[in-house]
Amino acid sequence: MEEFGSDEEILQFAIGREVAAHQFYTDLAGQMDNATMRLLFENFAKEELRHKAMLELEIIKIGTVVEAPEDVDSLDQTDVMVAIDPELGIDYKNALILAINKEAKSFRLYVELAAIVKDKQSRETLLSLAQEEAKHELRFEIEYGAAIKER
Amino acid sequence: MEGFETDEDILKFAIDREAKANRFYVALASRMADPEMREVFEMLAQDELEHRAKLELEVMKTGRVLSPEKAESRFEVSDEPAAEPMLHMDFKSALAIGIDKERASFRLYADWMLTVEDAERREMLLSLAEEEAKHKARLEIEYDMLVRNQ
Repeated sequence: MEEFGSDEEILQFAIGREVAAHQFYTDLAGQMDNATMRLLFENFAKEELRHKAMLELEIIKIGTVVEAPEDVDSLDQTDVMVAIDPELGIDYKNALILAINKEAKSFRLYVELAAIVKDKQSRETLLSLAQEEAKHELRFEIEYGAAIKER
Repeated sequence: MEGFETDEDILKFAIDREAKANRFYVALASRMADPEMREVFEMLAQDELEHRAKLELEVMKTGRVLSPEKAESRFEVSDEPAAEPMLHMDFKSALAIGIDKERASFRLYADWMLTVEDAERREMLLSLAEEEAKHKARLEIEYDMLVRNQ
């Protein structure tokens, strides 16, 4: 777990993760030939942007102006994201496995961040986001189960 | 954590919650005509038993033996209806209660984590919090489907 000097740093860190997650799902969607599968990942990409907005609101509440998001490539994504090689592509089931792992890690990250943030309202938001990431994880698991059955 | 004097108190409280959650899902499963839905609730019931076993292991690690009957009589959980009235409740209301119950369980484990420094116990609490959050999500999906089809 990284060291944070303030609640704002925690929230900015989480915003960076949401930006990276949005990019991750956008990239996955771009890899899908099937329109339904593409839509699934596009919807998740949108969800991550909504999470980002929730976190930005928390920063505004504590009286800080939210800076423009960092370049996604500059964010440390080593423990969450897996680079998708556009040349090799990725099949649907592997994409779902990546997504399941990503959401599980996001859940844990939010619960850990909630445990160290001092502002009560920010804590509520982080725990609420943790629950949403768990729901994402479950939805991907259900999709994966269906994809396996179809084989 | 508020309302608890020791970690052992929290453990007993959590064990009691898991036992009640198990009974809740067993009662719901018994009402399901659809075998797939029955399986979902049976799986949730089984998960709650496994959670209980994990928590009991934590008690054992402290060198104590816990009598479930004793724990249940000491910690009455006001927000958890007994399983029996579930049998007379409509499915939508039962799902709504299940969602609230899982949310409360998630919060119990997440809040507990704030007070725990031991890495192994934190990991256990994180894992339980994740499973409860996923249970909540599962019930929410069922609830949304039910509302859409009404």
